[in-house]
Amino acid sequence: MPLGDLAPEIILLLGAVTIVLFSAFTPHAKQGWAAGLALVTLGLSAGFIALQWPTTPSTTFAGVWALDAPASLAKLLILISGAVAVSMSPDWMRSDRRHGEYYGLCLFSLLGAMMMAAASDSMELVVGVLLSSAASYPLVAYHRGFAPSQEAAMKYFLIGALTNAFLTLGVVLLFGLVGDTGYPATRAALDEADHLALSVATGCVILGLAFKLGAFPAHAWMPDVAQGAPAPVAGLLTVVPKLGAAVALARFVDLLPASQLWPAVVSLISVVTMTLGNLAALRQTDVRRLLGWSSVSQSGYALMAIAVLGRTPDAMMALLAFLAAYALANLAAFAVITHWRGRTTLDDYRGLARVQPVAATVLIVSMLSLVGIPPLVGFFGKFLLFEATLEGGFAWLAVVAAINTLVSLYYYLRVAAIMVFSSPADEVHVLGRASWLAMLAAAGLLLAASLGVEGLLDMSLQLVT
Amino acid sequence: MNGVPLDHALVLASILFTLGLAGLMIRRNMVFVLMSLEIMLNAAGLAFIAGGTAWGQPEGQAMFLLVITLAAAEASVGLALLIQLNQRFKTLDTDAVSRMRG
Repeated sequence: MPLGDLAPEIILLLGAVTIVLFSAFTPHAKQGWAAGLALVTLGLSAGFIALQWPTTPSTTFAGVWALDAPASLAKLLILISGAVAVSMSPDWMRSDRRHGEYYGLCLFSLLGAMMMAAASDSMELVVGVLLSSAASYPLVAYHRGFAPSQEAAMKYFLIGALTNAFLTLGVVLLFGLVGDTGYPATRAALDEADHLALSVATGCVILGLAFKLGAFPAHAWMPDVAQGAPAPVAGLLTVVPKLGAAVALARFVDLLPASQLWPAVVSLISVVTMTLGNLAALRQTDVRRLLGWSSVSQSGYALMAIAVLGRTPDAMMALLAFLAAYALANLAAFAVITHWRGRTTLDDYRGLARVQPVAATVLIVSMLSLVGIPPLVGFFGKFLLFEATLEGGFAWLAVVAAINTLVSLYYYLRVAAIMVFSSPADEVHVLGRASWLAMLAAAGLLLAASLGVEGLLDMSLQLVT
Repeated sequence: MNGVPLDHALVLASILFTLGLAGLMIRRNMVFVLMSLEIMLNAAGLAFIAGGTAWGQPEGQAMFLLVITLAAAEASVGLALLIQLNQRFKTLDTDAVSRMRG
């Protein structure tokens, strides 16, 4: 078990611990430096992932960690998303009395998501999910004086605690059935396992991961967190846990004995999630809550790829491509909202395109990418997803998703229309230079991915297959 | 397992889990919610020990220690939230705090 296999995770952990120690002994004025430390840590960690890119899938540390292309891609995406969210934060957090530890919590949350993406052992999965959850609750509640922030954290905690207990129960049942927690041993033993107990265990694990994914039936925290949490945290938590959980769920569903039941269950969850998210987003008058519900519906789309996993070789690649496109677009949208000091109600967005043309353009472009309008990277993500779903024989699912996409166009365009066609109400207060640069960086990533998408797809196809 | 049969441990674990779940669903006071949560996770830990003993695997005990640690981490975050809620809203009723809807 070479220690170097875990270098990206170890660096992240050391960085987080360093930040916690640093901010414990640093006066308020210098706490912002922790953001720099966090960015350096994320860069180093990403560098190590790129250096040790796995050519053949393998596992390390007694089969507990998977070292394969999906894990590495997901980890890289998690780190990039984390870097964007961290660079959005210094301006936002400046007024907080203690904000050094904030970056440490961000890194712990990212580490949990990375563990989920790489877990090849159900106990490892539990540790990853709980680390990611326990680090995320305080992030949501970071503004102690702001009631919506506290309320969102409480709801997030209640749903999280319940689903995490079910996840642990599911893993216990699996361990009881199999006598081992490693995925290869589990896969081998599950064919003869008791059907009822296996169904209950799988249901519990899927429920636990649905919480991290923001999918039905554990989706209710997503809009609250998007609305109430500090805006950079909202960007982080609508993206990062989803990246880890989607890969973890894909790995877990792949273990189950081949039957018609589980793909059908996943596709049903997918349909309910995307429809519910879109219908709820339609009547929102709060832009951040709208983005939260749209994140729920995007989880539904991502689940399409998991439903057809094993039926078509392209499913994993489609899942990762879709998640990458979603992560970049959603982060760019939240970067704009952060720059605009987290304004939420739709009325506050009147005429912003005239006063703040660049930021408004970034917001509109990222929303169009979330819908999947052609030149943008979101289109390619959705296209691959639909193609994989059709190949996997779930044509009805693709049709439902297409109808949902059309519906979603309405609420995204409503925000755009209010920004462009109404007249501005009053002066726009923005954060500062750093949040402006972070927003431009997020937009740059989105545009670069859109322009270079052909090359990226070829590259990731070679890496995954 | 000498003395205690596997079934007894599992039945106790499932009773504890159900109790915790019922508490989490029914109680609206944040303190009781945290206690119920702790009971649920301990039930899972007990089942881990029972399963590990039945299979003759040391993993059951290792995972029990992990579950206890994770439950402690989660409960400590929950307690911190509870204190914040109490200072902010002057109540521990989870329903009274809920204002964001839709």
